[in-house]
This record gives sequence, C-alpha cells and structure tokens, in this order.
Amino acid sequence: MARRVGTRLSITVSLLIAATVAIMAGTMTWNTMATLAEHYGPEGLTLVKRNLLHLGLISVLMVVTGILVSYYLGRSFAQPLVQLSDGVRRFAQGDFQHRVYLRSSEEVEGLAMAFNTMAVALQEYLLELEQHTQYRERIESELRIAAEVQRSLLPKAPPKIARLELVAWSRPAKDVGGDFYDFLDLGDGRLGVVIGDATGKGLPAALLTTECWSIWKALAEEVETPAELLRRINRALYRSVGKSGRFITLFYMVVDAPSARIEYSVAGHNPPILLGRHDSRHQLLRSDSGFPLGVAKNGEFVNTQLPLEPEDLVFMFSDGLTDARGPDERRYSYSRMRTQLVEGRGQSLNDILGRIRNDVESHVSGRDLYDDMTAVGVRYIPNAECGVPSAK
Amino acid sequence: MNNEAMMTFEEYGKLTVGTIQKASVLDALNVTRFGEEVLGHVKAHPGVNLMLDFHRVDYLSSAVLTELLRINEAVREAQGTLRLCSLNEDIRKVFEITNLNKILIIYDALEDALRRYARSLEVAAQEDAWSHVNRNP
Repeated sequence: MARRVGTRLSITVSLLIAATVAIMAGTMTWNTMATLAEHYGPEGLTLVKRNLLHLGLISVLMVVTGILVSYYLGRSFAQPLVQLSDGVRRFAQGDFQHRVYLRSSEEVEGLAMAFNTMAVALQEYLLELEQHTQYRERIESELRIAAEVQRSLLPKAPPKIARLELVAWSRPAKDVGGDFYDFLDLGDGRLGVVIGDATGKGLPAALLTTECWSIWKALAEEVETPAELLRRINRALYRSVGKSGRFITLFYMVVDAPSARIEYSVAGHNPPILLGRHDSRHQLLRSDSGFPLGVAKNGEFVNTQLPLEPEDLVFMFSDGLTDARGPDERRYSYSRMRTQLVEGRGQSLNDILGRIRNDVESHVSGRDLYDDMTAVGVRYIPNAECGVPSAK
Repeated sequence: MNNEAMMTFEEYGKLTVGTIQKASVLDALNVTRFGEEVLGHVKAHPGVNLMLDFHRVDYLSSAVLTELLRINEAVREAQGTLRLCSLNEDIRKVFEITNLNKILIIYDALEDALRRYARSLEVAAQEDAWSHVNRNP
C-alpha cells in the first residue's frame, strides 16, 4: 500500500515537472522563431522552417530529460516516506525490533529518529507490562491456592447430631475471606458452633481468620465454657496482632441437645437471632461486654445460658450479609433478612437459607461485594434423628 | 488519583477538630489515606486533643475500626487524647455491637461535643493537679 502511494506520488511529481518543462521548451521555441522572423524577415523565416525539425527534436529531448530527472527527484523525495510508512506498518504488526535508518533531508531524518525513539520506549513499556502481567498472574494463582486451602478448612457438611438441624453458607468478597464458621461434635449430643469475622478482607483478613480458627480448633474440646475459650483465644491473638488494631469478632455457642440448652459467649460479633415457633419468641443473643478478639490484652467475656424450646432457630451471620449493597447503595438490612427467616419458618433450614441467599443475591444484582457474607443456622427439633446437610 | 486532602483540621482553643470531607463511605479503598492523614497530623502535633467529626460519613467498614484503634494508640503514645463525634445511628450501632464504644469515647453533634470535650480536659487537668498535690503534700 505504502509503495503504491509512493510510486503514484513519484509519477504525479514527474508529470508536473515534465509538463512545466514542455511548456518552457515550447515557449522558448516559439520565442526563438519569432525573434528570427523579426530580425531576418523572410530569410529568417526560411531558416526557421529549415531548422524546425531540429528545434522540435531538441524540445522533445528536453521534455524526455525533464521527465527522467523529475521521476528520479520524485522518487528520492517519496522513498524515505515510503520507508517510514513501512516501518510503522511492521511495528503495528508486532515487529517491535524494527527500526528505520535513512538518508534524507534533516526533517525526514528527524522524523525517522523520533520513530526509532518511540519504538524503543514502546518496546521497553511492553516488556515491563509483560513482566507485570506475569507477576500478577503468579499472585492471582497463589491467591486461588490460598482460597482453596481456606475453603478446604470449612466443614464439607455439618456433623449429624440427633435433635439438631444445621445449615451453613459463606461467600467471600475476594478470593480469600475474613469470615469463617465451623462445627465441632463435642460428644453426648453436644455441638460447638462458631462464626467469626476478621477486620478488612482479602489476604490480611484471611491470615488472621486462619490463626484464630486454628486456636479455636485446638482448644474447643478441652476448654470448659465458651467465655473461657474466648478469653484464651483473645490472649493468644493479642500476642500476635498486639497494637496493630486488627481484630476478629466472634460468636461461640455450645448446644446441648439432650438437655435443650445453649451456652454462648460473644466477642464483639453482631448478635445472632433466636426465633421460636411463634412470633412472641424472638430475641437477639447479645452481650454488653466482650471486645473483639485481639483488641484488649486482658479481655473478659461473659457466659450466657438459655433453655431451648422445640423448633427454636438460632441464626448466626456476619455483617457482610446485612450490609450487602445494591446498585442504589442501599444495604440489604437486618429487617429484610429477618422477614425471610420469619416467612420461611415452616420450611427446612436449607430452604430458609436458600430464600435468604436468593433475596440477598437479587438485592446485590451482581455488584461486587464490599464484605464477606456468612450465615449459619441451628434448629432444635426434639423428634429429629439427625441434622440436615448444609447448602451447597 | 485525586490529591485533594480527605481531611481538614481546625483548631478550637485547645482542641483540634478533624473532619472527613471527601468520603461518605469509609472503607478498605480509602482507609489507608484516612489513616495517613490523621496519623500525619498526630505526629506533627504531639499532645493533640483530637476530635474526629464523622458528620459527612454514612458508612464505615470494619477496616476503619482497625484504623481508629491504631489512631487511638498513636494519640495516646503522643500524650494526646481522641474523641469521635457526629456518628449516624448505623455507625453508632457498630461501635455498640463491638463494644468499641468502651475504648473510643463518642460524643453527639459537634457543638455539644466540643463543650463536653473541653470540660473533660479541664476535669482531667484538675485531677492531675490534685494527684500531684497529694503525692507532694
């Protein structure tokens, strides 16, 4: 394409110059004949007629020479531009090594130098971009592995414990999350249930979560009461996070199915809801004391006991669920979640959780999550043989 | 990136009011900037009595609570004091649920907050003077 344009340019310039030369030659011939006729009269005219052929030949020769000279000049003018255009085309096709070297006027050589400088800068930038992309891909791959490790720590399904129906679900805002939940079969029909939420999200939150979770797993079976367990986790976490301000909120509950009781302790976590068979039985499992874990060196936590009635449901959640934002910036809200719980009361826990998940997903409408969302439900059913598997 | 400051600091006698100007949502995306500006001011003004005014903030994430605990620690180490004011109901609830309202002192609207803050500093100064007298009768 560039060559065709260059050739067309050369021909156009040549024809223009040739036409100019032809006009000049014609004018010169005409002037010469007119001068001879004027000075020598009829003799001069005879002389002109006799030499007309020679003059015509000279004129044709001048025109042909003009064409050749002008074609050469046109080519030498267009060629550097053709070379430059060719360089740009090869660069655009991905040949980043290509450079343009040419001899021409100062301006055209300057243009070629500018092209080469731009080519070097672009090549360096592309190299940097490639390295950056490789680095990012490596980090993303490591994050995916971290997320898999974290997911593998979550219980595949809740344990099967007589008289208890269990369900759980978690969706991290990023690949790895700051929320966690777990169940622990403590034997004799007793179940330990924990839900936690580390400050922030992503990798820093996930690391804190994993540390807290590991301590919980290690101590939950041997420590007598939920409050004592939180006190010991807090002491251990404070040693590692100290004055960084990072913390984790946590709710831990032991459900004693045979004696129909729960015993729980709260470390700054948003209070779970206890919903009974009837509207009148509704309360929040809150605590006026108990800082989040990792905040206060000698944090103290309170133990609370409550009797369970048949079909009592304890629903634990992280604030990422109630604070999930829709496209209009409105939060999903506690009251909307509670409505789903109350309206779904006659259904299985799996179905109730499904209602809430569908409702919150429709509220969020595909928007990126600000925070991890987690929910855990425990329902006391005295006549049931064993728990119901968790939502997939 | 917007280089305009997120915070403004104004002095009211012995008190400094730090107002969050540029964000109705304080979360993981702007918490670093918030922390840097406040901690920068604390570092440049040792012993500052700082009140953070949240009247423009509609929502804050847990990452901001972490930052506030760090700021509280830094102010304390610099022999200063920290108070928060003009928190909306939702944000107040977050502090109540986490019990962090027992670590960070929270006041209502700015005008009342300034009066109470000044009064609490006077009481603290008097108590300090009395304890000094008691130690050196």
